[in-house]
Amino acid sequence: MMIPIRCFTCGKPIGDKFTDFEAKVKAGEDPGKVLDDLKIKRYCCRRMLISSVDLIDQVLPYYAQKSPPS
Amino acid sequence: MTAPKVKVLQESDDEISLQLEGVDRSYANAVRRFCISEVPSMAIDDIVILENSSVLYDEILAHRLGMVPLRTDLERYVLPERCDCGNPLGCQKCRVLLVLDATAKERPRTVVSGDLVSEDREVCPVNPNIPIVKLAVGQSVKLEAYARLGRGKEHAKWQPATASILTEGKGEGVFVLKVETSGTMPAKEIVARSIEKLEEKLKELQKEVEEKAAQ
Amino acid sequence: MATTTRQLDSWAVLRDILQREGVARQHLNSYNEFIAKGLQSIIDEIGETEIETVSTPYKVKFGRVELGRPRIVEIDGSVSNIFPMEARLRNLSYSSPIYLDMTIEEEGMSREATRQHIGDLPVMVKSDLCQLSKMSKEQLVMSGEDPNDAGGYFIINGSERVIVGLEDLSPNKILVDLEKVGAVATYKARVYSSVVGYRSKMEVTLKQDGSINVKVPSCPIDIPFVIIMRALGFKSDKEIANAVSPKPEIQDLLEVSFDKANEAPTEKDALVYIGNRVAHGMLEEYRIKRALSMLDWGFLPHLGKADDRRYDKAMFLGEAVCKLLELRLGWIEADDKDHYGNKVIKFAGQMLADLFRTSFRNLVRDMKYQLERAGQKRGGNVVGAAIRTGIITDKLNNAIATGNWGRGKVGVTQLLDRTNYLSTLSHLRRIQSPLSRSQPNFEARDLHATHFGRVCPSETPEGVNCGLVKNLALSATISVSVPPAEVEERLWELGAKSIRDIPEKLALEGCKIFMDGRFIGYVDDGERLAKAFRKLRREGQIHPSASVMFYEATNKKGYSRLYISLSAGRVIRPLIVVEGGKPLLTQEMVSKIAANELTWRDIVERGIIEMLDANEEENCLVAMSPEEAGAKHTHLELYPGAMFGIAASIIPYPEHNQSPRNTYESAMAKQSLGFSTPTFPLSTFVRQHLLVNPQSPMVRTKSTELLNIDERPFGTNAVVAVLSFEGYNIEDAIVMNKSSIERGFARSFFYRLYEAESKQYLGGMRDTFEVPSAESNIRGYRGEKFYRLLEADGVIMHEATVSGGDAVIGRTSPPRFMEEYKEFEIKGPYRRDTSVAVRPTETGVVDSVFMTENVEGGKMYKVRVRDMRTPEIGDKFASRHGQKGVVGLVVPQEDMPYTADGVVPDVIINPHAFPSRMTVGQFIESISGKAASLRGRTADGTAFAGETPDEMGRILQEKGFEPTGREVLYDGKTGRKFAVDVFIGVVYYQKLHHMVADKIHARARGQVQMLTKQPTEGRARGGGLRFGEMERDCLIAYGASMVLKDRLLDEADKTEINVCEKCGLIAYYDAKQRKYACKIDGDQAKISTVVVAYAFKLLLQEMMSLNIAPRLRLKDAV
Repeated sequence: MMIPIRCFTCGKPIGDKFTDFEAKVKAGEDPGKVLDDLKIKRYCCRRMLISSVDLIDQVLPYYAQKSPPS
Repeated sequence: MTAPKVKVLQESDDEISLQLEGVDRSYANAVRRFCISEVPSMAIDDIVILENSSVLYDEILAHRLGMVPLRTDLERYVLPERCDCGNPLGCQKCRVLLVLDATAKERPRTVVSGDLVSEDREVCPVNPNIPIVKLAVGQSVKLEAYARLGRGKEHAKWQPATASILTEGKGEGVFVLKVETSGTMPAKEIVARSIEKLEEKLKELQKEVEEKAAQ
Repeated sequence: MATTTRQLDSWAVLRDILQREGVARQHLNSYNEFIAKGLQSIIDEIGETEIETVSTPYKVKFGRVELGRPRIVEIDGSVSNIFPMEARLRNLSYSSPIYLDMTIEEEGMSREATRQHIGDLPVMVKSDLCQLSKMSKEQLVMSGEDPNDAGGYFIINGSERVIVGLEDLSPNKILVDLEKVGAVATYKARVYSSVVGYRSKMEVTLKQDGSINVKVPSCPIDIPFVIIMRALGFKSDKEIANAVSPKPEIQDLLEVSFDKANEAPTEKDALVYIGNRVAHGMLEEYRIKRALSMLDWGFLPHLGKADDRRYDKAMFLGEAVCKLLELRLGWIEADDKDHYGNKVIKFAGQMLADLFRTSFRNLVRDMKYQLERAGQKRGGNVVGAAIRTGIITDKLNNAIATGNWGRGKVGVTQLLDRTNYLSTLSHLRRIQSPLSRSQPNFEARDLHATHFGRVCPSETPEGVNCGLVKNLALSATISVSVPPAEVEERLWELGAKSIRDIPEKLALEGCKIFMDGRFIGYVDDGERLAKAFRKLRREGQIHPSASVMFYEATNKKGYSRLYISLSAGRVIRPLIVVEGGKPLLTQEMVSKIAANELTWRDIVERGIIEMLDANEEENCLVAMSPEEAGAKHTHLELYPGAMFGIAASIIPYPEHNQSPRNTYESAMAKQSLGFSTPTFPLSTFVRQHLLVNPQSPMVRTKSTELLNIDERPFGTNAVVAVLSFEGYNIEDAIVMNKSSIERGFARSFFYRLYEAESKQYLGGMRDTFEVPSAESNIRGYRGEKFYRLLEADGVIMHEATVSGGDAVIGRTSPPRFMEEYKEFEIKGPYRRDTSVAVRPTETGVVDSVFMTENVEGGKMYKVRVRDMRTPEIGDKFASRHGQKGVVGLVVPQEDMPYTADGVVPDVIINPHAFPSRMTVGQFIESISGKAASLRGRTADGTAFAGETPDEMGRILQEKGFEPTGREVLYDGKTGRKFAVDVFIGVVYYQKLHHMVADKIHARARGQVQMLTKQPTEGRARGGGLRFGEMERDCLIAYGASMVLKDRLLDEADKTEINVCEKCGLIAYYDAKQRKYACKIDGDQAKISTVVVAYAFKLLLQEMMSLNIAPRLRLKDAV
């Protein structure tokens, strides 16, 4: 649903780096380099950031339309 | 056997590399393993959900909160099973209350670990930027989370080390122990505590042997 | 990227096709054509109905048909437009009203015109009739729909049904075949003549004796060919012979047929001959009338029903005979029934046409009957009152809901597979063959060369349906029908000559022209015409769906034939046109398509790519790559990787796998858990899964992006080591890291829906939702604790933790039978408990509660219970290479092997999984996945075009790893280095929906069946595990007779019966007289008690009910 907080494989906290990673990659930076800069060395942790899908972004729009706070 | 010799190969906030000499592989590996499974650390274990209108289910929310690494002070806190309070809810010595109260009022927001308010300022998320849940406008999450000490063998959230590696160093009988921390405590403390726990275990064993042998 | 530019770019064209058209285009086109044209043509065919009343008869003429917006009529009569989501939630049918203009005509004068509602037509989601087809993505989200839903299915009573494409032999095509039974050879020519919603098979047979007979469905006996020709108005024998062919060799073979037709030398005789067979024993006048109507209506209906079509029919029959005789002479070869050019696929439109035709006829017949009964009363209101809309509505709804199409056709519709997004898409591209699954049909199951690019070579089920159920390839498109009039006009312009007036020379040497199964004429040079036709099509003057095939006979003496196909349902595929060895598609064009400045339709119109059916491809030489293209080549493959279907296209490096492995994966991908729809918080599927943390694959294929798998993934990238682990991964088991599981790896949710509605009964009683109370005389009351979670309204609260047996919806119903007042029952009226409870083996948390109203106006509740499933021993996982296995052991992280970097594998699989299965693709995926993770960008593993293992190995080397993917691993338990390096990498793993939690079962004591008193069967009923015949054999072999008796008697259905030793029949205990009694022997009876299996006692009594007296002869046990 959302980026896991830790790498499944080794347990390194990676959730906090996802927003940063996504933003930088979107801005055109080389994802490999961004990961190096974030000090994510092991391939297990790297695949977490590269391949995670935030399903919640697809689900939230269905709630956004619902009544604004009263 | 020669006396054990230790050399610090490298040390940083979250990582330590030690060269061990004169230590048997089985001892070295026991230390490595204890870094993962026996050294206690703090993690959220119990949550009381007062309100959760987010998309994430209570179970997922609980799991995510549990995974957030918390700063651990092993001097001030004890494992609940070792605590003398006898209170199933715990006491000042064996649990910490963290409160999360977040609402997306005007615009959608991401609730992060920094939004957790702890009753003990020392026991707080290692990193305040860990996303917990995204809220659409009007959604809110309100909960009480109880953190306690626990061991990695019970659940992975209590593992203080994210990597604990024993490799062979240069020369016969030389090992390199590398420990990386999730941030709950400095890497060197993990190693120290690991040895301490190993000793504790052996002490218990010794006691047991002595008792049984006496019979 | 290291792929060649050519492959990368032409992919953009294919992507444009699939993204613009959507994966369900074939369903939508077919349905849209049906609502636009088919519906009207079926009504026009019937046209009117005569109302024969005593005084002045009148007619009701049918005019234009029109369809309203999808809507629902509530119980109070109010009408509201609905969206699919409401239909799903409220168990409604998503359908539109059909309105038909009717005119009352009396004595040739139009009296009154009315518009009548004749029934409801189920609406295909995202068709032209559906609201959703006109909405933008944002609007779709606003109305609660999934913007990426492909549509192409129906919603009937709230459930989603797909009419699966049905493979069928091409209609109106003469197919010749040789059937050998022993030494006897029979030549047959078959035609399935079809018009909208109706088909009739004609068969022409050439027997050993040389006679030619024709079989027509409405006639029970075969009719000699010459007699039919005469009945169709061909007078002289020469005329008839020439209609077959003026060639002497062929005419020689007709002699026997003429001899056999001597008994009917004239047209009238011939008609009487046929009349005798279709309407035996009637007046001659009537017989002739019947014969003519048979020829006009039942014989080759695709050529028309008017009497002026008889000439065309005779010529067509003549051609069938000609083709048959050419086969006999060895000039041509038998037609290949499995050739994909001889197949069409029928989708919803055609299938609904069948149904609508019969139900509309029924409606008209019923209406006529009602109006005739009404007698003098007439007018619009009377007509309106005579229409029973249920006839059409119920028939259509019922057929789609059950898949029962009548005439033995079952399983036409299926419940849409929503396991994950991929399985839904794949389901929408499925094709079924009507061939029987119980017969071998080897050839029909085989992969045929013409399947290339049309049908997936890998994706087919194993077992009985193997090769009969297929899936469309990514590149396959289904043709739409082309109006024939203008195409025919072109043909005359190009020098074709009509069959109505053929010079003899042309009939001898010319090329026959067929258009959509109509024999329309001749042309001197068929090849020239075919070329000219193609030129026009490439210029955009002929519809791109039109196809032309030139067939040259193997023997020079045979006829050449030119086939033009304009029909819908042919499988066509895009190919790049090559002229003079140069493909017409340029780099520039593809870039423009990729940049969305040009669409694929534009380049089709410009003749740069062509959509070819399997027939036309027979005239082409297709190059696989531009380098290969030479002067002889006519086309170039657009994208070879598109030969796979949806499921197979997600396999990375499939060309490195043994082919059955790709087939296995195609089946398993559809069982993997993932994210099937973003509307899942509100979805009301009976069973549904959700993977909490899915990832898009590190090694992707081109179709990953195309099919939105990045947004709707169905697996997780796992670090996989290939290593044996203490025997716990023997036999395909896998070992999993406990900590990975705890951190959320492959965590999923399972949802189950419980629903209950309040029904109205005769006598005004209703079901009521309430908490059944112990005090108020309720039958079947389960006990207070099962209702503890219900709230005052009788429904469970949100987020309540439930387990097996807990009521989620409390409901009581009135007694089943009102008269059921028993003599001793003083309690008075009672109610029954009909609460809905959680399944006995399941647990979970109440996820959502929906309250709504069904069509009948009854209150309806749907309660969804969710259950979190973390991987455990026994759960099934699979990689994308057909390598499946169950979790055999969950290992604490500290015991798992580790690398020098601290990587601990998530999964350990056994090396024995590889040698015999040869799934090399998985090795390459592993290497690529690891390299891709290290470089920070996903790898491309598309078939024939992916990044090569060498390239990926080089990346590994750059990052300081072995290019082979191997690493030094240390044993977590000892800290010792493994003696050899271990292969470790990143592989995409799928969690399949077979989980132990749903299957685990054991029984000590429990229910027994009422009839046999043996333990029940099946997990849901807490059943026993069968101690079967073979198990029994083992005990006998061991001589363990006490165990045998224990299992089969004592712990099964042991009973004591009383037997009369004298007569050997079952005796009984008379409780009043307090003695044992036998009805037969009375006082002389000697009664003993015997221990037998209850099933045996039952057998005795069942035999007695058949008038057999089974007598037991008792002896004392020694």
